[in-house]
Amino acid sequence: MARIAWTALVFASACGSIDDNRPLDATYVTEAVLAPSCGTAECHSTFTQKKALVFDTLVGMRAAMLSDTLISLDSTQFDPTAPEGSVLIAWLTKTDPFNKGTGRMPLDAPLPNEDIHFIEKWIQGVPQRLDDGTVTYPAPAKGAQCDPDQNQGLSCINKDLYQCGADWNVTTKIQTCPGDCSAGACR
Amino acid sequence: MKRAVVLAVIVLAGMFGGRALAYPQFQLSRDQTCTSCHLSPEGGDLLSENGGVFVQNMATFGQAPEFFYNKVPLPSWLTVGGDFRGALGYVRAPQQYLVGFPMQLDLYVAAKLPAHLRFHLTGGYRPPETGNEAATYFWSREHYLMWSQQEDGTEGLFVRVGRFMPIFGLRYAEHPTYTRRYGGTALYTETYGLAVEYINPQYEVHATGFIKDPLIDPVAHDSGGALYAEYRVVPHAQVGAEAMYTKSDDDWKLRGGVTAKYYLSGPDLLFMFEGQVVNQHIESFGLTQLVGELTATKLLPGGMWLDIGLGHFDENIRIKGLDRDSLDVNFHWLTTSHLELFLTTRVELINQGRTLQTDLGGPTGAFALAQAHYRL
Repeated sequence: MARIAWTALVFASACGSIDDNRPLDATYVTEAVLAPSCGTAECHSTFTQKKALVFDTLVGMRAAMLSDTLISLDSTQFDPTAPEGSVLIAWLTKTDPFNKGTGRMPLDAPLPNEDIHFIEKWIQGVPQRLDDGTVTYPAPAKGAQCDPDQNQGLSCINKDLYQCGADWNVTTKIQTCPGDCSAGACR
Repeated sequence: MKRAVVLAVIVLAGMFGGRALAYPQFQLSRDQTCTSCHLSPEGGDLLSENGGVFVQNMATFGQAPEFFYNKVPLPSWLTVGGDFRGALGYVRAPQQYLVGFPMQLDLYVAAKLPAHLRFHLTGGYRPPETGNEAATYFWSREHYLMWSQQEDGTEGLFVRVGRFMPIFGLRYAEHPTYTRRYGGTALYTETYGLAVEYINPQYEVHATGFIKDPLIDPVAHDSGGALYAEYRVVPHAQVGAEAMYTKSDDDWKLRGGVTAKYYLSGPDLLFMFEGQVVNQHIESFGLTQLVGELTATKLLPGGMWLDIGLGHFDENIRIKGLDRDSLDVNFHWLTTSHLELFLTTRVELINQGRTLQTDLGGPTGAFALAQAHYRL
């Protein structure tokens, strides 16, 4: 009976499609991807908070992404066409990316490539082609775009300065920065 | 040194931390229930008098199995023990490390009280919380008050209130086992709850309601309930069913599963299986996961046994390339009544190790760890 059940499990697992319909938002990224792989008891859980990073709650994940700049949406560092340039993706894909003698994360079991690509898509936002042929990436890092309690609730994406909402997404555009933008202010 | 491969000697305190649960390999192959040898209905931690005799007879070099070799007299109402474990070995994920770390430093106390009551306390080391180290090197993982229908009994009704791990599934001692890591009983997920449990040689039922730990920053952020039942069809075969509901601020999960054990007395071989279907809901999105473990255990003379296990976890059955499979080979040697040596090895494949299209799959993981486990 055990063999039958096992075989059924393996066959059932082979039924997946590559039509990835997972929602590109911070809650899903946290609960379905980061918490079970990175937010384990001994690592980046609320319990241990290794390196002061928490990935097993939405609150902790948002803080890690923004305060610890695992992703940086301001114009000097964020390129929506190259989400693999983020610190988060470097930790997930490269061996010892910052010469600290550690990495690729997670340290105890590798993350599937499909999960890494999914996180890249989340950081990038959903690409949309406009009538003039240009491609934009609305809603990058949805749910973890800005901290409403930091920088007077202001944050930049692609040189545009926005007001942050309570859901950690940008809301009203305040202005287009004449130069670069960093740390929530036009420079 | 090639950049893609880092070989480092490091100490990763707690990365693979653990605790000593009972070995499910002995239920059915040696006795019918965990309570035959353990004071706790979940197994693990303190041994009963019968459990001590079992360990003494099983070990290659049997010694007095009691606390401190019975050199420290204890009153009859008090039971004291402890588990100390450390590990040394190799991890690949896919960078390679040589690691050494303490796994467990726990002391146990069980005090018998009037009216069939017993108080259990487990205290010891835990991985500290960054920024709050001074207050978090030590903790009490379990503390609960238990009422049992029989005084010092191994059967009947048990009621527990306090902090403990809900009884759910086969409860492997090795917490990297998928049915523990992804199956609702991950490492350090003990929490406060109320359990009502009935155990006898033919069947047992465990119902637990639990809440998110309100006192510490916990591992599990859920409240919910768990139900687990086993029925021994014949003395050498049992089937079980399990269900668990958990809800956190950000998601809710419903798990359902089956367990089975079959023991072949001739070759002294035990087969164990646990399989779960997990339905997780995150905001308005639902997904289905599969978790399974199939283990064959060969019990050997001289206090040794060999486990060969196949694990399967599919993070989302709709998306290809998110499934992982593990092959575990573990060898245990109970050298004395107090010292166990243990070699645990694993190879883990994502998407069955294949790259079907583009880069579906992922790197192969592996570990080989030698452990020493001293039971006080």
